[in-house]
Amino acid sequence: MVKDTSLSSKILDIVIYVSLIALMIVTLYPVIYIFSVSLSSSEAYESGQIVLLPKGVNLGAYAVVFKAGTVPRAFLNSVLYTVVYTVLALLFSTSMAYPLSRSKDRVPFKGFFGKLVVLTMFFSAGIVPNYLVVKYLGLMNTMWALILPVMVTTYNLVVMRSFFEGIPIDLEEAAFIDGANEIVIFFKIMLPLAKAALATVGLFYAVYMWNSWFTAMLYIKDSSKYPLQLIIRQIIMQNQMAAELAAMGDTSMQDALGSTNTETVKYATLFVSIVPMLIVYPFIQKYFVKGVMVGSVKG
Amino acid sequence: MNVKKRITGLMALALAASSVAGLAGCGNINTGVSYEENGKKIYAYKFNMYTQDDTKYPETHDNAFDETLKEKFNMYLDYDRIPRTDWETKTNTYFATGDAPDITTGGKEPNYKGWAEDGQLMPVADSLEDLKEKLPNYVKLFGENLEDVYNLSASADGKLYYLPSLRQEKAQMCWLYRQDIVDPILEELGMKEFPKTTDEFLLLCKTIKEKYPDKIVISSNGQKKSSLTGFFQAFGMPELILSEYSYVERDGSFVPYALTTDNARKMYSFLKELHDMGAIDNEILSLEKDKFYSRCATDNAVITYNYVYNADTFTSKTNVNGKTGGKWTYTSNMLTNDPARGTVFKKDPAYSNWGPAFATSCDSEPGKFDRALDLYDFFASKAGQLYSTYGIEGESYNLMTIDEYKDTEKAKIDKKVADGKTTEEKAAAEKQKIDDFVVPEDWKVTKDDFTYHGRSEFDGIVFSEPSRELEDGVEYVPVVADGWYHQNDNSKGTKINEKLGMFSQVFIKYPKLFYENRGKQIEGLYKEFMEKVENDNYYYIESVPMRYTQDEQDSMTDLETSLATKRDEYMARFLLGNMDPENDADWNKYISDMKRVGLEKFENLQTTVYNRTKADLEK
Repeated sequence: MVKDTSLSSKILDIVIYVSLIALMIVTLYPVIYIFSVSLSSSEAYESGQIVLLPKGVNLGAYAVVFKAGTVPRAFLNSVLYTVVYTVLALLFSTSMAYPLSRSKDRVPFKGFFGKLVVLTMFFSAGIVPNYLVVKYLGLMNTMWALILPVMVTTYNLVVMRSFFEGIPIDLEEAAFIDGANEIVIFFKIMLPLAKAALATVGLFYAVYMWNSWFTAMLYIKDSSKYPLQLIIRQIIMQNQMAAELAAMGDTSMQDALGSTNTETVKYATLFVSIVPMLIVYPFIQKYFVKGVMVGSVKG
Repeated sequence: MNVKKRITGLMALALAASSVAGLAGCGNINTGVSYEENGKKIYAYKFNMYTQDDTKYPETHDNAFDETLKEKFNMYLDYDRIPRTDWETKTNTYFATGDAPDITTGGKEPNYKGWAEDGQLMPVADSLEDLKEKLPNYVKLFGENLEDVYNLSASADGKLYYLPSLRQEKAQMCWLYRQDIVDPILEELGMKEFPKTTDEFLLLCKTIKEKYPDKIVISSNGQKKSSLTGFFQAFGMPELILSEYSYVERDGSFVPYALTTDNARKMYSFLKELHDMGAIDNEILSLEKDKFYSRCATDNAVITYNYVYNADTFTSKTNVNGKTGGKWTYTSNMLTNDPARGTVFKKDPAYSNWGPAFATSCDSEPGKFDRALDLYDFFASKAGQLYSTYGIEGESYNLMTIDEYKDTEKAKIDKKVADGKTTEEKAAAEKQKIDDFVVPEDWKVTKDDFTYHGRSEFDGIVFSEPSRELEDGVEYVPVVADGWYHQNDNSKGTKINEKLGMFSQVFIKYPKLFYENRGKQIEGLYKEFMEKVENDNYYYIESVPMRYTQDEQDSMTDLETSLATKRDEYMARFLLGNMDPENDADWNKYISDMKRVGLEKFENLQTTVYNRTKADLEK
């Protein structure tokens, strides 16, 4: 490769490096700050001493987070929901995307199902009908209330369909000739070829479930089944909510919070919640760039 | 053939999915349906409540409260405990989907009035007389304020759809300041006490700022916009004007929207003056509690409008990192911009606008609704208060005679002296105080108080037998037993309501517990305010009863949101000096923007409702 050594190229390099470094700082600083506050004493935080690194290092906030019992259990719940959801969502999305990517001669009602899928991108029933469906299916207070209603999302389905469309039909024809049926072709030929797309869409699904709290708030009754994000939301919201209630004359929540500084605990909980994604991402990052471009260029 | 196979496959998959769903739903019994147990009918209720942030609740029903409830009242409560932060969204969804719980607690009056208008709630009482008949113990809680409480909390049809709680805090908010910083400056200025007028206040702030140019003078601890309520009062407006919008002036005139009047303009100008001299916290409208503590730690808060009982907390948050000598104190001096008009302070209303409400599902079988009302009437009785506050006598609390109680308190002081926590001289003074202390009437318990006296078949039952033989005519005091604690007490041992499964309090904290928590400071402040009412032209502004029809309520809800958004936007601009309230162009722009989002319509609506409600109540 010939290296461009002209002045303009060097200036451009400098601009790019500076921009990227600035972007890295902007992205990384909040994460480091959260980590530093979570490891610092509340006095150091209250007196505004933390800029980048922890001050008065102690693990008190983490001790509170893990001693409470709620966070570890919620963490495990989130892991369970995310794993089950990602596996099922990938299975159902691919098993629908694959036929929709094939010729209509092989797939009856393909046009109808295709339009039906796209329709759901534009029209949503809203909270009340969803709630009623979940309730009358007897899913309330179960993991399935969080998983089944969002098992297949249209965007991810379209990404998968586009990927399958890019796989030459010749492969299937060869497999047919060798005696494989549709199921064998799907599981033994198509899915192994779709690893990049599976990693990408799987990450989309996993991040969605890991971050979601609203459906859990609505459908889960037992606090022992709460996902982590719901707990984090409560921790973050409680100060704000207490202030709003106090403004209306109800100080009971403020009384309950007392004079404790919840900030370091809040940050420790936040950090615990981002760790799994930080760990998972580097392993699938190599697929991610390839997968996310699926369908962008064809031909 | 292939098509048929595929359709069959699809159907199989769908069937499998529904089976999974069905199985997952098993065990999720639709509760709230009454049942027989040991030949006894048990009324079952879906019970919706929000959880207190510091409380763990029993996960099963084999606790003392649930068992006693079943045994004495034939009631079974299926709890849906919702975190406070999610309560509104979740409960609104329940009501919107027709899945309302039989008993809802934790709602606010506007929630209840809305659901009542939609026909989803049972009226607790059709009139005040009806209420007196149905809940004889409950009505006693409000004493002479009962009629006012009923009028304020009833819906537009004159019926009551929830049971408001008693407000034990008579006055809570006042100015708090750093005594170690402010007192020397007051002396220097020749002022004998904390300012009483806005002019004196400006002078004080200016002097503090001159002395400590790098420090913030006025800040607040996460009350958000209500951080400014001390200033609203200084200009003759009630403390809760941000959520109530309208009020009645001392001369009886009705102000339909307070924060667009000339008086509000004067207040904004005053705030701008404080801002221009750098005395007021730029983040005062958004500061959260923890950040305020940072302000304390860095001496960046000298004056705040706050809860009287927070002075000690602020002192401890100031003296950190080895610092000593910072001391916060409160004053009952309030500010006024017009001494001739008088000085406004906040006397808390006689009731808190939350409490239990009952869905129409309570009427699904005879007796179910009445039984729920009986339970709440029991909680309002002395026996119920004792039970819901202290739990079981002989287990989580003990009864002591007045002398035994005083001896115990003295022993506690002796122990503190022995532990080196207090000097002997101080201890002697404390003992003297206990000797002279007259135990308030509402702390005392007699033998008869353990028996519930109500209108129902439960009249005469003893809900929780005292463990010791109580003598007729002897007065006792409840004291939390060793190894137990109540909400907000010294948290060592077992928390009463966590272990026994009770709600922590219903309608009222037992007066003794209230006094021990914060009542002492609150009573002190209230007493000082009342003396100033007598001698210093102090007055308070009562809440205005407003009975909206559903259409009016809907219009109001639409208008108040857009008006509040616009109001808050301009409040920030005036406060931060981006706009000048003294400048006619800026002020007129504010008014015209408010008019654009419905100010005049809102004022007409409020005036109509006020006049009509007033006429109704006068009838």
